[in-house]
Amino acid sequence: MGYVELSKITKIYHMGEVEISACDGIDFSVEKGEFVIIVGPSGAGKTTVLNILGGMDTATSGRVTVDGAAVDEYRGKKLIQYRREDIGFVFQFYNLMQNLTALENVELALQICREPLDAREVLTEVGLEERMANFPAQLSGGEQQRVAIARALAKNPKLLLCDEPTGALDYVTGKAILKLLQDTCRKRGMTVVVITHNTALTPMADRVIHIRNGRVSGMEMNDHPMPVEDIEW
Amino acid sequence: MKQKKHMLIKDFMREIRKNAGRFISIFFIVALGAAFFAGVRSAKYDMKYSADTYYDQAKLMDFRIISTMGLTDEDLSDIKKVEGVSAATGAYSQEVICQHSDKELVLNLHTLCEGVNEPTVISGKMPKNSQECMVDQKLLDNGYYKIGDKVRFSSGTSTALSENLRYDTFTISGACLMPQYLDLTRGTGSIGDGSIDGFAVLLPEAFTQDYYTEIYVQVQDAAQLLCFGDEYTDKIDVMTDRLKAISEAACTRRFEEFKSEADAKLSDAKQQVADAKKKLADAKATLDDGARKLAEGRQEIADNEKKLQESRQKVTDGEAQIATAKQTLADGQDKINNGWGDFDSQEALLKQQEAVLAQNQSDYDSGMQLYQQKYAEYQAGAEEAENQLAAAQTQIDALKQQLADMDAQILQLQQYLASQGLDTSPEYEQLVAGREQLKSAIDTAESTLEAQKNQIYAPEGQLAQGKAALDASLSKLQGAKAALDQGWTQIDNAKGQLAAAKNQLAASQQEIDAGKANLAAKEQELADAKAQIAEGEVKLADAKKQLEEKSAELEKGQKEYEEESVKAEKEIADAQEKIEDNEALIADTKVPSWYVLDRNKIVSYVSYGMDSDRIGNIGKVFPVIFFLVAALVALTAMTRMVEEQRTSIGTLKALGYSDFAIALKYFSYAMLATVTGSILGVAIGTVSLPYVIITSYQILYTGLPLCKTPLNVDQALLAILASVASTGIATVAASVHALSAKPAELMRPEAPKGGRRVILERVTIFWKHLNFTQKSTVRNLMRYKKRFFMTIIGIGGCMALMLVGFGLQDSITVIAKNQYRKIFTYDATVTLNTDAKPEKTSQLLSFCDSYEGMKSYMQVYSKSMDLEHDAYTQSVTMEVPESISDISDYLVLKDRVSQKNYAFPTDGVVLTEKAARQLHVSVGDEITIKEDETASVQAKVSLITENYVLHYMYLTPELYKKLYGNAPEYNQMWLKYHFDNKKDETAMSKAIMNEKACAGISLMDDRIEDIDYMLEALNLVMYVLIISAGLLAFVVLYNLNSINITERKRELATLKVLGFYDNEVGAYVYRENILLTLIGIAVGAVMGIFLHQFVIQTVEVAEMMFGRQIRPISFLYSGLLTFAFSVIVNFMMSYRLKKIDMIESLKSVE
Repeated sequence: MGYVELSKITKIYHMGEVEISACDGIDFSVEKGEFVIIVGPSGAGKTTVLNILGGMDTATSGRVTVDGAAVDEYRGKKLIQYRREDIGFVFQFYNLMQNLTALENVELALQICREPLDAREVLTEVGLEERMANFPAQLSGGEQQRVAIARALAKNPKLLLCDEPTGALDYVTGKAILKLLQDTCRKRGMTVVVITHNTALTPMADRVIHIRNGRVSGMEMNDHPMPVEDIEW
Repeated sequence: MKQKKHMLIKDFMREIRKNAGRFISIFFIVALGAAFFAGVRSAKYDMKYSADTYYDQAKLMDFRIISTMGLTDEDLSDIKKVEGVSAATGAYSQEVICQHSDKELVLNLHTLCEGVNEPTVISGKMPKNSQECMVDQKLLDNGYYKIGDKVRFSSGTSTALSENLRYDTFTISGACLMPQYLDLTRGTGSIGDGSIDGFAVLLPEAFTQDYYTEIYVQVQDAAQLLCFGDEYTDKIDVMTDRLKAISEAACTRRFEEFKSEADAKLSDAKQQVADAKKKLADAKATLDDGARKLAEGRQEIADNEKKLQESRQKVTDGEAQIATAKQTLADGQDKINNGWGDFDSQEALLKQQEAVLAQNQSDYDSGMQLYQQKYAEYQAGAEEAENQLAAAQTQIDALKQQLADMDAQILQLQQYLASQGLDTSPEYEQLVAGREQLKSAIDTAESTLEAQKNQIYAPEGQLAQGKAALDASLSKLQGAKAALDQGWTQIDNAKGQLAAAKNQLAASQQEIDAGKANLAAKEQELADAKAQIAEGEVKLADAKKQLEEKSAELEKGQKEYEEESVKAEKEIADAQEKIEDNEALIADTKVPSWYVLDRNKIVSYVSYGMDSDRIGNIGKVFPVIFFLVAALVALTAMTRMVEEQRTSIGTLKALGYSDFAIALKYFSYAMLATVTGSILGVAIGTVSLPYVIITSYQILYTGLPLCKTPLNVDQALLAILASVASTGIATVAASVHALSAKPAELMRPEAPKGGRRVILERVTIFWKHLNFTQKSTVRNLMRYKKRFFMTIIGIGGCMALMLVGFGLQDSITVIAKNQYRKIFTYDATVTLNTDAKPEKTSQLLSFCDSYEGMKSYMQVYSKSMDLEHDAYTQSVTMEVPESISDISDYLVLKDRVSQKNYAFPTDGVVLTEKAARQLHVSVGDEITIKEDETASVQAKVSLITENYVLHYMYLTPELYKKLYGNAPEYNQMWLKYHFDNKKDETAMSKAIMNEKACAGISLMDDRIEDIDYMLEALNLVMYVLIISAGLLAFVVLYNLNSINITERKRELATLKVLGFYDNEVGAYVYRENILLTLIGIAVGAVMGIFLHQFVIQTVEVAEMMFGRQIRPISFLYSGLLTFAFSVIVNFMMSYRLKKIDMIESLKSVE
């Protein structure tokens, strides 16, 4: 029994008359402290999986357990509480509060947590000790994503979920962000799940899960994941 | 090309369907704005139009002409001739008093005219004869009368009612409205308590005045015009001049008439005085005559007494005479009696002689008789013989005749025989034989007769012997007869003597009897005379008594005359003086003048016009603000829509669609919502709002029987155009802004606006205490400045509108209570009867002193005055309290703003606030106080005091005396009392009303009720405003919130993903909204205060000052209402917040 366990997850969207199946029976498990990359082409259902895992969406059927808790049974407030306390989320478009400074954006997340980390420390950790007082609009994309990561980390979640975190970033910045995520995983023993369509990134993960057409088409373990710096794409 | 259009239309239709909420919200906000705008602004016109329609239906006069001396038929025909006059009607009116149980009602009687001022019958029927009347519906509503009742009028003045009315009692045939009376006021009158309680309509025949009291004039083509409008006013102004132009000649004519009439009357009066004088003189003459007659009467009585005395003497004399006469008579009677004795014996002797004579006579008579018998026997024998002779002769004659005949026959036969030649014949022979026979018979008869004759007439014949015996007895008899005749003559002589004696005796007796009768008559006469004397004595006594009475009467009469003549002379002098006065008056009487009164002299016409103008004023402010807020929201919604769709705009642009085609989509969208919305709004608004407003005013204007809400094209078009323009321009502006950007720019997400530190952050103490959402809220507010201001203005506007609504209610409701509780602290006013005797007044005062519950009272002199200052005039009520030492118990003088109390100034007058404002007077200024056209005094204004109802001027009695030279005559009383309940108060007021000196009592509580009632209509209009403003607030908040949420979907989704609970997410939004609402409320409160001030001054009535303050509770109410709307809207929004899809919104920026 893994730290994170998904079994027979299906998700069917009803678009009027049409039924679209996003997940068609996904099974995988992740161990605590692993750096996981879920990879697959557009429309394969990876974001759906992440949303279900992150408590932003519920599966049509199947079981999701995180740290022994049956997340699929959560509804409403319980689900929010799960997101609030157990999940850190990093978005493709950062989704920072535009009228809060970097520090305030982090603190925003902290004010709703039970055991938050120190915001300044986390920001220093992500390399933004100089830009703490800046508003998102005053930061570059990478810096904004760092703030987003810091915001997710500071909550001290059980899972850090990242949806195409480098999708809107250039190569160098993207690499730096991935490094930050990898380092966070290693240093803090945080379970990190990253979604990407870029298969080139797979070597840096402990575990790689391939998804295609709503099913897990393959899963592999890297016993020796490569540092990000060494990966080229 | 066709395809493109088609797709755009498809897109357009989908847009509407997809964003139905936005479409509907624009539709409704525009509808609301347009409805309110057009509705309230139409109300003024509709009010006037409704009244005008009614006026036209009832044919309300355009002019009412009255004259100081009444109007004549000549005047009427003159007026009819004036150019532009379509009709003129002469009418009568009369104020009368009508006693209704314990209340004295003053009624104004009108003439039922055809074609002008036609009453609208509400119940019952028009009067059919001159003993029926139709009364004011108000009197029925107040429960004074019902149909079929009889009303009895009295004149209320010294003039008899019959001078003006045919009857004094009328049967109520029905109840009606009249166009002169739109509201419940009936004007003021000159009788009773001075205020008219109602009217009654009579047939013209019921009036007996010999001149018209008024003439109603209708102007040609005036009915088509709106009577409150400028065109009508212009027309009326022209007509006023024309009517005034003919007045001078008419007045002069009337004056001449009056003068000649008055002169005639005057000479009559003079005649009357002369008559009176003559009567006085006559009375004097009669009195003198009486005195003279009395003297005569006395003389007569004296004469009569004398006569009576004489009569008495005569009676005594008469009595003596009668006694003598009686003696003489008795003597005479005795003589007569003796005479009768002689007479009787003589008579007896005579009778003896007579009897002897009678025997002799009888002997003679029998002798005579015998003789006569014998003679008769002789006579008869002679006669028989004679007869026998005669008969024999006759026989002889007859035979002789026969012989003659035979002779004739013989002759004849002879002749015949001769002729025959014969000498004889048998027949002849026979005949001659017959003749011979006959001749022998005759001769025998003649010889017998001769023998007989000898026998008889022989002297020795029997016959002759009888004759001789007879002659012897006769001579013997004749001797006896002579002796007898001698005896008889002797007896006759004796008898003659005796008869003479008897006659003499009878004559004497007769004489005596006559004397006796005479005596009796005399005695009777005497008795009569005695009776007469007695009677005369009684009469005389009576006459004496009468005379005494008469003389007393005369004395009295003289005394009376003396007294009366003094009086009468005085009266005559007075009358003469009056005549002189009247002469002077006639000399002084000016030529009468006409008053050409147009409808502006009809109180309810003016007040209704003012009320509708007031609504018009409200219409100038309220709907504009309302509309602006609505337009702002529509504008925001459209701007937002364009901004939201920048990507698709970019795409369309990139695809090569023209800017026009793209802009058209949004413009059409906006137009479709705006045009349909505004049309619906206008359709509903121009009907419903004026309807509500007019019906509200009908509570006050009960005389207006109809409510017209026509579509006012100008206001409707204005509302629609303004709506179209504001949203249209906003949409175009937003589209142009978006379209000016390059497609690529548009397709990229709009760079989010950067956060910025706000000034507030500098206040670190405050800032530190905020959590991040709160910080975000504060920064958000500052970040979206446009939205911030729009929201503030929107909410503030609604708040302000509601505040004005509540504030106006405050201003209105406060009036009566402020005035009659806080400023006038007394509880009732008693109007004193100025004609009442002083002891009646003191009786009333002592009644008040002793009445349980009565605390104190103050006597006041109250009178209406006109004040002048510079060019301004204002009429006020002057009130002079008896004493100012405890005036503060009755009247509070204070400053409205500072609420500081003042002492009653002694050096000048106190003026109430609005009067001072109207006159542009400030403390220290001199004002002119005018009582009428001639009398005026100057006084200094020492104080201006808070006041709400009517205008007053207060001064001390000392100052009054200084100004007018005499002490004021108190004609009012202010009462202060305390009763536990209303019933006791009513009982007290009734008891006071029963006092002679009390002419009327008015309780402050009733006045409060009256005023509150009067302003009720305005109050209702306020509710309309408040509800509309509330509705607007709601829509505004909903729209702004809705925009707020759509704009920040991403942020909210992020918060959700971060694990914020729904309520925390909500709070993030709500906090901002609530903050905005609070700021809006604060701003609105300030705006409202100013708006309220403005509105109050436009809405205010001339005789009143509305309260200037908005009560704190109203701030609270409007604030809470706005806030409540905000909360409701937020609550509705929470549903939309929940629906925000985290996944969709996080994926990309759309």
